[in-house]
This record gives sequence, structure tokens and C-alpha cells, in this order.
Amino acid sequence: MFRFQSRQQQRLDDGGQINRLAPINFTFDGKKFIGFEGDTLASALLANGVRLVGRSFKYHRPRGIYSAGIEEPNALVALRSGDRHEPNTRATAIELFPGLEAKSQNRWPNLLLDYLQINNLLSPFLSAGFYYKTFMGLPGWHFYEYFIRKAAGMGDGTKFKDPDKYDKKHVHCDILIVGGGPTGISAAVTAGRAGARVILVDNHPKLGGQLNGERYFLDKKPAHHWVEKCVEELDGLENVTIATRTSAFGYYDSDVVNAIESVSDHLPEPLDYQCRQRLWQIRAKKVILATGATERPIVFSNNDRPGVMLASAARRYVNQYAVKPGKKAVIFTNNDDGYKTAFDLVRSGVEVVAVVDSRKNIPEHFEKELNEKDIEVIASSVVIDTYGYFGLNSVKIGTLSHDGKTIESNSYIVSADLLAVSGGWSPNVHLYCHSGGKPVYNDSIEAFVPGELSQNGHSAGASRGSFSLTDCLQEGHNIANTMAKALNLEVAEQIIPETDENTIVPIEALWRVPGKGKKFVDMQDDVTESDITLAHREGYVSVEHLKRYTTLGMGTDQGKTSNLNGQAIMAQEKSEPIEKIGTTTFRPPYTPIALGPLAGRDIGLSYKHTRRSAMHNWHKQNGAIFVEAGQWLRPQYYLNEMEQPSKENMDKAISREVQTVRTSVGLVDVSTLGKIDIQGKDSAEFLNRVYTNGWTKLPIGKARYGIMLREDGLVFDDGTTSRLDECHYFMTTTTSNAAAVLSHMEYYLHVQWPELDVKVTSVTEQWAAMALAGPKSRNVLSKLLPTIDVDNESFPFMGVREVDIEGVPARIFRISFSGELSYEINVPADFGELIWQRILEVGQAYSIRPYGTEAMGIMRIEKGHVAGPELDGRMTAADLGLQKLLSTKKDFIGSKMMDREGLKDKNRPRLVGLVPVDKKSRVKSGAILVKDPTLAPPVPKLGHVSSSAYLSPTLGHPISLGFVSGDIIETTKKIWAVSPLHKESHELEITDPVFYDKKSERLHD
Amino acid sequence: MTEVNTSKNSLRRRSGLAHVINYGQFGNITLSGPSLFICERHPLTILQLDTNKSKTLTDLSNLLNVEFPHTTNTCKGNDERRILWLGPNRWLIVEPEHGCLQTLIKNEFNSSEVFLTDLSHGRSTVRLRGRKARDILMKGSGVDWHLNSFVTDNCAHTKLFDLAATVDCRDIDVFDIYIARGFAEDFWEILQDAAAEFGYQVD
Repeated sequence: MFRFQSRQQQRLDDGGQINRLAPINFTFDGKKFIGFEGDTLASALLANGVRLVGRSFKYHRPRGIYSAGIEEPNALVALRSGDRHEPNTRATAIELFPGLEAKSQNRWPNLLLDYLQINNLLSPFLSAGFYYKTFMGLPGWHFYEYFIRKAAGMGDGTKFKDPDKYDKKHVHCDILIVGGGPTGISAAVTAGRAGARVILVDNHPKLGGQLNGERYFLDKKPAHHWVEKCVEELDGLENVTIATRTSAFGYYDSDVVNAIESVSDHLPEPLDYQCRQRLWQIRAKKVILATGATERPIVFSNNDRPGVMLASAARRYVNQYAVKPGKKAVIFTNNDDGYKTAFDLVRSGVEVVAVVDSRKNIPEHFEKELNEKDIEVIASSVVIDTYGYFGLNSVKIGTLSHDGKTIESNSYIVSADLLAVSGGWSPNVHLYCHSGGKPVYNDSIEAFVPGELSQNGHSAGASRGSFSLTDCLQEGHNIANTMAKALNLEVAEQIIPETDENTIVPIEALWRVPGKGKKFVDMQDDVTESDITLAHREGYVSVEHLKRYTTLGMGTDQGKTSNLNGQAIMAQEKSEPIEKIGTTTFRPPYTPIALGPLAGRDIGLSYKHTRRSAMHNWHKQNGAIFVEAGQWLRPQYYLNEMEQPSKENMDKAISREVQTVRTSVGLVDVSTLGKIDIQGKDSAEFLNRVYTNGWTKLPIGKARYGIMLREDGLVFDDGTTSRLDECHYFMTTTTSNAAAVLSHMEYYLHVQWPELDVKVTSVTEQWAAMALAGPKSRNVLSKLLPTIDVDNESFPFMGVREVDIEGVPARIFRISFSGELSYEINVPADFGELIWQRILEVGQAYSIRPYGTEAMGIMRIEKGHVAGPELDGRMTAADLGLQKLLSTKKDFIGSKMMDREGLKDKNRPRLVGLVPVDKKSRVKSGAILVKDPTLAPPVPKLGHVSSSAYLSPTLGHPISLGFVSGDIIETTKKIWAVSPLHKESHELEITDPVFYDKKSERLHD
Repeated sequence: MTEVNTSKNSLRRRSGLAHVINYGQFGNITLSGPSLFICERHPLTILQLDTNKSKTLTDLSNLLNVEFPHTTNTCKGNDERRILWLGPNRWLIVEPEHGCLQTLIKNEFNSSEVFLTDLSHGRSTVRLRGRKARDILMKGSGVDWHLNSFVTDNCAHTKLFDLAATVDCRDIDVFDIYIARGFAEDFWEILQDAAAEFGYQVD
């Protein structure tokens, strides 16, 4: 134990909440150190005497550890290496773990040398907005930008894929308590005892909050006794969930609070099956914001040197981590907090040279202890300046004039390696503001506090400006009590423990110390007092403009220690009260969070779910190359056993499949088509209103093709609907519009026509569907159904049969997409693969072959059938050549709007066939049709190519479908297709859209 | 019409998960064994029933020996047969496939009273059981799955891991999850991934 201790020269011999029996090795900039379990990286570095940990953002000034929490503006380090490398992490919030690797950042070649510290000398030229003023007007901004960003910046990220998993959790509760300090614990005990479902979240590894960093006594025992007792009680309550290492980062509408749980950030790497972080989405009936407060500094010259830190941080280091942050300290304060730091430092063996208090009157209750500890108090005084490049070695103290605007001439320098600064405390109102609340300024504590309630989130304790421990404990209890009553719960009493704290003497605001020098307001972004005064002089009157011009509060710390000082300085410059200046907008996240937990497991292939047909596995095992069709995976084509995927083999496969269907028989999986079951006595009337053509006379056992219009008169979708029974229909839709059509119909049934007795249900997943197509398809079907007559008279075109295929019920529709004799066979999905295989077995005698979407697409283009690319939401029925389907004897959806002048224009684009003049060029779908590709822009668009068959094995050359303006069709036979992105242009001949079997004899025979 | 003629049929239904299920114990199995048990329920008869006639419902209850739930997001039933509330005047009847449920109902009621839609093949059903079952549901859906809130005979229609799902709480820590068949493989994969940290057994 002593051996470990001896290498940590700043470690106290006893005390703290660290485990001295658990030493932990870690490195910083490659140098090996040892800390203890319970340390943060910052406390372990301080224990080892490391003061310089980074370089500042813009001026590359040496920086040390400034705080002891998530508000840290300076000590940003790169953590871990390789694929787990993470830049810009706060050393003050990183729990030490074995093998931790940390590196300083924003320096080159190393932390001590850093060539870019020359920026500090150039600082007079690098004031707020310097690059706008200097470079924006000059040519080559993008050239300069690279170097500027390189010189001023944060750490570099990794380009490797994140190896860790992230998870999500959705929880509900009666009362969510954010913050596990005295207020939060007190509230949790009261709410838990009342029986409320409570979730208590805290970003630290253990509860206690500020109590962990102080030497408070509760009921005459150290405060941690009370914390432990409460935690034990809460652990025993089934209705209470405690989530430590969980940081609430955003408060959203409907009292939803999001938090990130650091599941394994405190470990070298996640354990097997463990995620790194988990997003909690918490839906609460009531929220208690016990988020505490953040100490703020005072702005004075060279207030950023390593060795200058917040007074409360210095206290926490000695009390919680048993680390002396310095050997000789000066305290600079404008409130009582500095005295607590002085006392705790002396108790820990740190020499306190003086407490410099800007107030005239020293709190009397401190006098006795000050005398006992022989601490000098210098009243009405301030720290004017500091000295020491890589670490503080002395401070300059002077007397403040009565008006606070100047320094008397009696200043002097004292040596010190630690300057603990307290400028007062700012309640953490961030989550309150996320919820929609507007903070108001409270003069008595010189800070913004929550104003009116926005949602059901109540602030309590330090987060609403109540800084005494007694007040925090009482408020936590009171608010939980009130909420429990509102939830109709029986409230149990809680005896608030007695505290040993002194009465607080009000703060006297001191935002900045007069004098020259570089006085940092926002240390993370290197924003100085002079930047703010410059912004004021240049006319930036809004605090939001000030923020964007100077970057005040725009760092990863979001100005937790700097915003109020900056706003106060602006107020002073404008001679206006701070409340009139106001705050900038607080936005989530409260602390920086990784993107991983927001995505959770919705990454990679899980980003978008995949839908598979019942025959998917067969396709996979039989050479299918898949293509995405919406969420579905469909076979695009099938390679033979010896074929490797290549463009050539793809062409061969597609040709093979088309020729098989045209000459013999093929089988294609069409399960993806939308299928809707329609029942009810008004079904025919409903279809009559939804489709443009007539449906009342469709006989049972017959199918009919139809199109639907949208309300605006443009074509929505097409498909066939079959009558299975008197009041029972089966509708098919296009694959892509399946959900939209169902939703469209449900809307009309529920909202517009509730009087119709019709039920619609999606049965897309219930039925596996396959189209048996080709001149030999009837032969295959007759073998499959030996007892059923399937000749042309018994089973005509558009006929429907409900049959039994070897014990499996099936619906067979004689409809065709390919233009061949074809039967669409639907069987219950669990039998899909088996029936598919059975058909292929039976079809072997006819050299049956499965075919994919490419062959299917080519054949429908050959036949001039419209599909998704043509039904693009911009076409009328007439544009598609389907005007015959528009009934004039009835109303239907879209009928009122379809006759608008613009939709009846003769010059509207109409469906045409397109053939390359050279009979070999492959025209891209989406190509624009123009009169002449050599014309100078703007070139009038005459139409576009909607679908292309790069090869038509049937015709022997490529073909396309497209739309060409009506007037052009009348006058022109040739047109050019251009695809500027691909630098392609091809001359095309305009033809009839039906290339194959114009009389449709093949599908009728 | 979609019920299988079992007397003639020698074919067995093949579930949407048939190709992906591996039986055994997986993930973070500790000395106390798996915290989760996952199995597919198959083959099931799943019928959607629509009717707005209260007398018909009473008669149906008598026929099926199960009351129809009228409260939003609740179920009724027994170990064999479950009836889930799906929406106003709409229910889902689920039972292991052993008889001709659709025929049974159709024989007793005419098609103007009761509308039946067979969804037996359109849904994949996964049973989740064990002390971590609720934690899995919490990972994937915003419903309040707390044991005091989502109790036995409650059902939820939600998005589970971004997939439309119906969840029936069969017992304190037993849940039947109904997913569209086409997404079953995806769901199974996600479920296993989510369950790995708890250690699970596929039965």
C-alpha cells in the first residue's frame, strides 16, 4: 500500500472515498501512473502531481484541471486507442479503470512544446470573428479554412467502426427524480415510502451528490452515513429504481426525459454481451429536477493557468479523493463558499496563504475557525493577476475601489500553486429550460432560477437556488410529498436530519476584476472579456448574437461555468440589468453524449427491417441474387450452379428466364403484392367508390383490373380485385402501395363512409403468391390439379378458382402481368415453399424455370403494362392510356378533380414506347427526353424515360417505356434521351407502348 | 376456406422461423441458468373476427367457452384459446391448430353477422418467458411494461424493435408476441441480440 502511495505525491495519507487496496495503472501521454479505485482521471492525475493536461482551443495556452465534474472546460483528453479512441472526454468525469490510456490533445508535437502556442503571441490579431473579418472577403477561403480549423480545434475522432453495442430502454414512472444529491435522495425517500413508482437517476457511480465532496454532518454524523442509510432503504423498496452512472440529458414534451446510462464506460471494455451505453427514455407523470448548481469563476487576468480551479472542486479533491490539488493556496471569493474551501484545505494539510474576499464584511461566524486555523482574510480585495507558465506560482492581490471599477495602488504578489476561485453558484436550470420553462433572475443569489412551471417538472434544492443543505433536504421532501398527494398516494413522514451548516451571508456579485491582461470568460472556447466588449462595441445587442459572434458557451461544456459571467459583462457594458439581457437558449443534450445509444441496435442491416417471402429460403439456396423492393427482398434473377455473379452472367440469366416464360413456363414469387381481404354487404358499393371503373356487376369467381385515383384526380394505384363470394372480395395492390392503399381505404370507411358495412384487412402476409406463366402453364396446372378442368372455357382469362392442391387450400387467379397465359397461385404462407417446390417438380417436364424481378419487369415492359415507375403520382388515367377505365356513370374518389383543365390538357405527357435507333443502346430509367442533346441550356424537357429493359430477349433489342408530351407525339417520331449525370445521350424512336402481342391473344388463349 | 384439409394433407406447415431457430442456451448464461426462455408457438390458428352485434358475441362466447374482452387492450381466455381485443368490434382468436375453428364458427353464424379473416399463416408467434422478459420488451417498445401496469390478460399493439407487434401477457413473466410473418427472421435476430446479455434458452 505504501509503495502505491509513495508514487502519488499529492495523495493524502487517509480519508476520501477511494479504495486504497485497489491500485489502478493508467497512462497519460504515454507516461505510467497509478491511482486508486474511486478516482477520476483528474483526481488521479492531481494525486500524481500532474497539473498541465491540455492546451486551449484557440491560443494553445497551457491548461490544467479546473473543476471536479461535468462542467470541466479545460481538461479535455483523448481516451483509449484504436477503434475505442474517443476525443474530448472530460478528465473530471472519467472513472479510472485499469489500463486507461489518456492523451492530451490540440497540441503538436507534444504538450510542453506545442508549436501553435505562438497563437498566444498573435492573440491581438485573433479576437472574436477574426477570420470572418480577415479571410472571408479574400479568395480561397476554403484553403484558409482548413488551416484555421486545424490550428484551433478539439481532438481528432477515430475512423474505425465503433466495436461496441448500444442499447435502449423505455421506462415509465410516477415520479422521476433527476439528481441523487441531498435533494434527490430526500425526495426519493418520501416518494418511495408513499408507494410511488420512482426512478432516481444520477450521473455519478454512487449517490450523494455534493455531500460526497463536503464535510457536512447530518444528525451529528458524517453525511455519508445518512446517504448510505437512505440508499439501503431505497434499495429495499420494490417501487424505487436507482440508476447511477445515468445522465439525464434532455427534457422533452409530455414529460419525457432521456438519459444515457454508462453501462461499461468505467471498464476497460464492455464485458461479454454487455453494451457500452444505454439510452433510457423515461415517461414520467411528475419530474423532480434536483440537478444541483454549478460554481462559477470570477473573471480576472490570466485566470486560466494550471493551478487555478473552482473552490468547490478543490474541496472535492481533498474530501472525496484525498488529493491535495496544491501545496500553497490562495482562495478568491465573493461569497461564503470560499471559506469552506479554506477550512477543508487546511484540514488536509494545504497551506492557505489567504482568503481574498471581494466583500467588505467578513462573515462573523467564520472568525473563530479562521483564527484557529490561522487563515488570513483580505477583505475588499481581489486577485488581479496570476503568474507561472506551465503552472501557477504566484498571484497578485489588490484592493478593490469602493465603486468596484478600479484597483487601488497597493497591490502585491504572494506565492501560491493553487488558486481556488468562487464567484457564486448558478442553479442547473438546463432541464427545466428544455421542458419549456423560462428562467428568471434572482438578485439574492445573483443567478438565474426556474420561473413558471412549464410541464410537470418541479425544480427543488440547489437547482432552484436553495443552497443551504437544510433547504435542499426539506424541499426534496416537500415536493415529493406534494406530488405523492397529487397521485392519490398516502404520504409517509420523513424526519429531516439536522445539519451543522452556518447561516449563509448573501453573495455580493463580482463578475470581473478591473485591469489589463487576458481575462478568460469561456475557457473552453478561449473567449475573453475583451471579446465580449468588442462584440458590444460592434453592435451585437442580443445575447444570442453575442454567443454566435464570440462562441461564448458553444463548447462541449455549453458554457456551464461561463455563460452567466459573459451575460453579466454584456449587461454591464450595456448598463442594463442582467435579467434584461436574459440567457441564451438551453438545448439538449445537457452533457455531450455519444450518438451510439441514440441509434441503439438500429444500425447496419437492422437500420431497416427486411421482409422475406415464404419462399425466401428456397430462393437463397437456388442461386437467387436478391434486390430490395421496399422492405422486401426479392429474387432479381437466378444464377445457375456454376455461374458467378457478374454483369455478363446477369444478362445471361435474365435472357434465359424471359425466353423460358415466352416459350414454355416459368414461376415467379409475387408474394410481395399487397393483398387486402374485403368483406361486408356493401363491399361492391365500396369498390365502386374506390375504383374508377364499375364493380357492382362483377360475378363471383371473376377478377377485374382497376385503377384508383387520389382525391386530386391523379392515379394512385392499380391492381386486380376478385369476387370470392357474394360479399367477399380479394384485392391486390402494387407492392409499394400496399400499406398506403389499406390506409386510404380505412380512412374512407372510418371517416367518410361509416355507414358502409365493409371490413378491410391486410392479408399480404397470410398468402404466399406465385405466378405460373408461359404457354405451358396450363399443362403444369392441370398436372397439379388432376381433378379440375382448367381449359380455356372452364377457367377463362380473369377467372378465379378456390381449389385444393394436394390438401392445401389455394386461390388461383388467371391474370397476367407477363403477357403470357398465366395463373397466380395463392396458398397459405406456411405452405408457400412446399407448393413452390411442388410446382417446380411438376413443371420439370416442361423445363420450368423460376424467374426474378428483372425478367418479370422486361416482360411487362414488352407488354406495355404500367407499374410503379409509371404510377409515380403525377399521371392521369389518360396519360397512362387507361381513360377507358374512367366510368362516367358514377362518382368515385378523384372523379370531381380529374377533369381540371390542367389534367385534360392534350399536351400532357402520354405513355409511349421508346426504342434506341441503334437498337443496342441501354437507356437509363429517369433519362430526360429532349429534342436535341446539343442545345444550349435551358433545354425544354419533352418527357422522361420511366422504365427500361436493357435487353429484350423477345425483341432482340433494348426497349423502354416513357412519357412524351402530347404535341410532340403528334409531330415527332424521334427524340433524344439524355442523362447529364452519366454524360449519356441516345436517339430514340417513339413507338406504341405495347411491343408484344398487341392483341393479347396469348393471355386469352 | 383457407383451413387445411388435414385428412388429405400429408404436408406440414412450415413456419417463417423454421430456417433460423437453433435450440439451446446462448448469451450470458450464469450459474443460475438462463434468465429468459424463448420459443416459437406454431402451428396456431389465428382468426380475426369482426362483429358489432352483442347477441352474436354472447353466442360466440358460449360456442367458444371464452368471454370476449370489451376493455381496450385486454385479452381473455385459457391455456388453449385466447381472445385479444384488437379494436372496436374487432378481436383476434388464437389457439393451437387442432380443429377447424373457422368452420366451427361459420357453421353457427352467417357471414352477415360475423366476419372472419384467417391470419394463421400471416403471423409468427414467439413466446417470451422468464424474469428478464419484461426487460426485453422495455428495450424495444415504449409501452409501460411494468408488472403493476401491464398485467396478466393485458395486450398491447405496439412497435416492438420498430416492428408492428401484438403482445399478450399470458402470465406475470410470460408473453406471446405476434409479428408479421415476413419480418419474423429479422425479429428473431433482434430478439436474440437483445436477450444475449441476460442469457437465454431457445426451447
